[in-house]
Amino acid sequence: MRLRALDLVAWGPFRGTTLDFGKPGIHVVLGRNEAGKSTTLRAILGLLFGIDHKTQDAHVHKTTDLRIGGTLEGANGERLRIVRRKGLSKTLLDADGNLLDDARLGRLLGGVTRETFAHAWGLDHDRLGAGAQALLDGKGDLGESLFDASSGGGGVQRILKELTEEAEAIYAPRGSTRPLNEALRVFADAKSAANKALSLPDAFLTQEAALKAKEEERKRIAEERIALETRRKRLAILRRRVPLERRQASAKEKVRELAALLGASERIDALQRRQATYLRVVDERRTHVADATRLGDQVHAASRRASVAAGTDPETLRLDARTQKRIESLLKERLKLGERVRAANVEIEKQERELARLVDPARPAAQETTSLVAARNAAQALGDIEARILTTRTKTDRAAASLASRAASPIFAGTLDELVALRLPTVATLDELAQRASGLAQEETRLVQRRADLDREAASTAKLIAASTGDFAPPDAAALAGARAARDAAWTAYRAAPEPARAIDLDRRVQEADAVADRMIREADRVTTLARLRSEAEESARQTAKIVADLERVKADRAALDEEHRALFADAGVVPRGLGEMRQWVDRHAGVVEEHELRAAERLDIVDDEATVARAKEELRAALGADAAPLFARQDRLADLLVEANARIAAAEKARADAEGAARRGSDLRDSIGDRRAARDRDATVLAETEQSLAEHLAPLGIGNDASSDEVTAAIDALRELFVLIDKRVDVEARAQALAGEVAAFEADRDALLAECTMTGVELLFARTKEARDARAELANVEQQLADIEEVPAGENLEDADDLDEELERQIDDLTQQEGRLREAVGGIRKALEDWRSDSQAAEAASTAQSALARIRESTERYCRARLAAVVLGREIERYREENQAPLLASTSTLFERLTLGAYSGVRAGFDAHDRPLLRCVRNGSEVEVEGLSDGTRDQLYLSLRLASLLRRAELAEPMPLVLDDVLIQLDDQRAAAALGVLAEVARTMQVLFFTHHARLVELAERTVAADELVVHHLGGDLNRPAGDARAEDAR
Amino acid sequence: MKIVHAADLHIDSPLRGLDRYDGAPVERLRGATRRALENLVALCIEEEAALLLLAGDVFDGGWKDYSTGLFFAAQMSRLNEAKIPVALVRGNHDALSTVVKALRLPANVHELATRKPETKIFGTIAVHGQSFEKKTATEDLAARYPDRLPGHFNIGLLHTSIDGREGHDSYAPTTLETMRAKGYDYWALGHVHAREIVSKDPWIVYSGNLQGRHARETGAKGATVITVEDNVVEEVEHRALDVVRWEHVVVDASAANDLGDVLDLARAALVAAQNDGRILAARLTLTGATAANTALRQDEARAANELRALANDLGDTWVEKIKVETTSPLDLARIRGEQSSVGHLARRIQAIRESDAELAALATELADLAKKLPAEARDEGLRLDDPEFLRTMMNDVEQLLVPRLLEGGEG
Repeated sequence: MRLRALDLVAWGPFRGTTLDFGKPGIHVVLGRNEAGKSTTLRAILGLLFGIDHKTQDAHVHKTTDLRIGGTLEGANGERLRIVRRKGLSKTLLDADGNLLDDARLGRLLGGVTRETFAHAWGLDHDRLGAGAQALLDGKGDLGESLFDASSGGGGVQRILKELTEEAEAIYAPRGSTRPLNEALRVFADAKSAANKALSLPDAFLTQEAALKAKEEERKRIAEERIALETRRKRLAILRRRVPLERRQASAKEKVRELAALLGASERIDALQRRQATYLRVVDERRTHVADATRLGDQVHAASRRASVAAGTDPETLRLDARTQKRIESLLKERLKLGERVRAANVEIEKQERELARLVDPARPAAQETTSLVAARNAAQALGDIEARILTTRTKTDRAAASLASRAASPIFAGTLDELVALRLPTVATLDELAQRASGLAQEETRLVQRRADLDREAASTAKLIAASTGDFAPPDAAALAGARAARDAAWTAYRAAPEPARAIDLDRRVQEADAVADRMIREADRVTTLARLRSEAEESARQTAKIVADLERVKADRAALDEEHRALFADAGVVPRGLGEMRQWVDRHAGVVEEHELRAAERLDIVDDEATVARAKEELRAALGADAAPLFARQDRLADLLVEANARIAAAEKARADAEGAARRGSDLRDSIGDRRAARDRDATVLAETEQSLAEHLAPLGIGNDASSDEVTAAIDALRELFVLIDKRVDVEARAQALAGEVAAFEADRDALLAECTMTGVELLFARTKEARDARAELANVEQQLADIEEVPAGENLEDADDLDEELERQIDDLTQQEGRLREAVGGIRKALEDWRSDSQAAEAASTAQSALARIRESTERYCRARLAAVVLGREIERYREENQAPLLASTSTLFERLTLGAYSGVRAGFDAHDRPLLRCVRNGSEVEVEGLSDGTRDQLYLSLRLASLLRRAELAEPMPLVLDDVLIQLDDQRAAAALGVLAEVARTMQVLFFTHHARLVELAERTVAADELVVHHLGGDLNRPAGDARAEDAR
Repeated sequence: MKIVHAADLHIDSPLRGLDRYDGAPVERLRGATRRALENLVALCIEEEAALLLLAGDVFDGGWKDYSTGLFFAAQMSRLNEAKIPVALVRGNHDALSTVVKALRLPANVHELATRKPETKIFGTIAVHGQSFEKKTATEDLAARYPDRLPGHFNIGLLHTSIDGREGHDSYAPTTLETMRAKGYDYWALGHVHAREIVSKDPWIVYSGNLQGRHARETGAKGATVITVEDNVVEEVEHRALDVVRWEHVVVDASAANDLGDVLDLARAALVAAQNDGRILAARLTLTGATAANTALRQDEARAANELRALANDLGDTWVEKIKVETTSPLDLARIRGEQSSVGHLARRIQAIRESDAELAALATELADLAKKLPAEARDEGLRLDDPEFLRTMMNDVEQLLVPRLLEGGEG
């Protein structure tokens, strides 16, 4: 089948674009980026097999408007025009838009499916690479390589490998860890475990019987234990009752014996409570009597310390609190006033001293500074004038030096001032001279050139004249006349001469005359040329003479101009150099003069400033005064004098401020002294009054007026101590008297009670009474305890109780242990029976077995699928190899040799160590394995295999168009050209549509492939352009 | 008055086909048949049933573990405490069972005689029945059942396959006419595991088994509750008592483009199949001509793991088996017609599939494994030399190989 035309009616970016694939040969479709190459490739698939429902080519046209048309042609010449629209069904239309039966198209497609067409008849760069990689992956296995190339590069090597590996990963005949091997083992183990875990009825019934026996035994032992425990309990009660009954009897006896004391017990208790008080009172009275004696002695001593005269009643000296307070107050007042008067006197004296110092006539007076301040302000107004002068001078000097160096020139050797003074011509004058000189030079050049031209022309003309003169000169009129004369002479001679001789000479003469005439006619232009040349030579000579004269004139003018130039500089005494140089020098001289004047003005400014500074300094020195000692050493600069003046002014201002402060302070002091004297005098008066009052209070106490405060205080303290002692003694004597009465009352009550109870002493009375009361409490306690303990029936003997109890305890322990063991045994059996009922180990194991069986089932099915798929595929690969190996290898060899430009002579079948047929390439007679090929060569090997496979298929069934998409971009020009040549040959068997976005490949195709076997289509440009552009280019 | 009818308990018979893959709810499935029996007992107590009818096959025939019997006895004791009597007949499995022979059941359980039909009266209920004496009972037991007892609610208790029910061995075969002729009010049947109301006049009912045990026993399983008033059936109601529900979940993967799409579709189907908190044991069958065919078949283990992980995520779901029955969207018929290596391969697969001799030759490739498979595997259908098995495999091989060769480049 051939695709004669592809109509992109409405598809992707295209509208109404047609690619005409009708002509034979290879069709190269050049589509640069974005030109729609991929869109066009999709259009071919869409046309033949339907538009993909998720097409990406509906971005310009609506989905419903998408249309791809085409004309198909079968091997029998049948043509079918179809249009494809997008849709789920009924998408195939005829040229008129009517529905077309899919079967008609199906017949032309020969049953080829979309996938087969895309994979077997389509090849792009990526798939080429993948196919080559698959060759490598399969290590060149011949069968796999041939099969894979035939199937369109589905990666059969990888698929076979994966299937084989998958099967081996699931199960291995001698494996144990593969999932299926393991599941088989788990199944067998679980089945075995289920059988082992089966519980049988006999075992259960035996256990049930054992449970019953154990339970009965446990019951019997429990009863026995309970009986023993009852008896042991009775013995324990007995052991508690007997001692209590004994204590009860003893207590009853005691209570009866001391019944009288229990009757008087309340009074005895009262006496016992009072006895402690009695003993304390006796003791206390004794202490008071002793204290009274000691205080009497102390009163005597104190009277002496207070200087109480013998015979004086001390009570007359007792001071009341108010008087005492008053004396203390007066003492404090006297002390305070005395201190204040003293302090006032000290302060007054101090202030008077300070006042005297302030009014000292020796203090220096402040200096007058009015004129100094005026001079300083004037000087400060000048600013930092000295620094400015210095800067300006330095700058001016530097500029002057620079100017002198710039002004130096070999043209003038004098000083700068002489240079500035020179009178020189103006620049304009010099420019005018230069212009004239230039005009002369140009004219001279032109004249010299013209003369050279004339000389060359003259020489040429002379050469031409020479060529046309001499032997080669054309005949002229004279020659013709000569010839005719000779002829006529010959004629004359002829008529006169004898017959045979005359004829010969006449003929020759006639011919010669004719020949001269003929030459004149024939060479008439040469004659004319010669004449013109001679005329030109004369004209040239004339012009040459004129130019020589002109040149002389120009030279004379130039000499005059140089003289004029020299005259311009004669006044300045300068010998001028070239016009241009002099013009520059004069120009530069004007600048020098201008700058020189600027420097002179600056120097005048400096002189003015220096005079100003001198004046200011003079004025400052005058104002400072010659007699005043200078404060600073440096006095020469104006700045130094300013510093001195400022310091002097500051000192004078400070002295004035000090004098004003002293006057203010003196006035303040005089006021303060007056105030303080008045206060002191007031305090002195109050002090005198205080001393008077104090004397009046102290006189009755025998204390003199002159006594100090401390002495007065000491005397009063001694009197106060004396009265304290007197008061204490009176108090103690009164208490001793009161206690004596209490003692007598107690002793009377005690003696009466002792007599009543016939007791000899109170201690014995108290002890016997306590004894009686304890016995009564013991009796009550024991009777209470006995009431809480049950009665025991008669018959138990307390004598053997301890031994019996031990025996009973041992027996009970023994029985308890037996019982515990039986209880555990019963629990164990019960649990075992309960487990049997509630759970089945066997059922769980059976469930595990079923789980393993499920895994066996799944793994087995997976294994079978993978294994069978690998076997079937492997056999099919081998069958394909056997059937197709010979023709395919032959065809591949030819193609491979051509594609590699003869680097390889072809391919052949080889074998590995396991006799596996392998694909081997032949280079220089030796075999190269697929792994040993470079990537590019392996690509070419795969391309050879694919093409061979398609050619082989074309022998068996009608071929489809081979659609190639940029498969040669990795090749260099030579190999790409070889590949294009091969494809052109393939195109004789099947239609070849070669898509590329490389213009270079188009050029290569145009150079390599015969014009009648190549059609180039340009997507996005002039479509269907005939081949030959590159060829035409080559021709050019 | 309520009467509960159950049959085919097959206690401790293991659930089949459940591979314990990672994440499968193994614990919740432990003792599923026991849990179902506990549910039955709870139902009887809750409904205050007047009688529980067990129509045979309480035990699994080949099962010898006595603890199974003890468990049954313990459950019957619970009914005894609740004063609910039980009438049972032995079925073909019970007749085989060694467990039954040694078992002592509590007093409320009445096992009907084996040698001849027996009638047992429970208040106003008369139960007529006969147990299987041996595994094969080929005669029509029902024919010999006595006529109805007047003034009672008459029940025929029978383990049978009426007219030889499909998929079940023909035991104690009988006919509807025979049963109708007895004039009973209700026939409580066992043996057929699928629930079926065979007749409503009189009521002839298969309660179905209590717990589905494999992928062929799908749907709700449990017991039948019969409400009787004045000796007349008021209502017959099925109650689900199973703890695991078996379902076939068919996923049409036509719309799927890749494995992810298939997972989405499978998730939706599994969610739809889930049932009130029971464990779902699902057999997933993927069908349809789909672009995901190659992805599903190229790495089966991965697809299975993804689907099972999906089930784990859903919770309470156990994927029993994944059957990939998808086909490639390719036109295989056309490919078989192509003059290409792949076309030839497709033709070869077709030829092998159609030739028993070729299949037998291919079976030798699997002979080693076939020898190692246990007998139980053969019972499960894994007969590696069986032409039918091999034909199915070749279908899969075709769907696996041809699209991969034509699609190429993937993987």
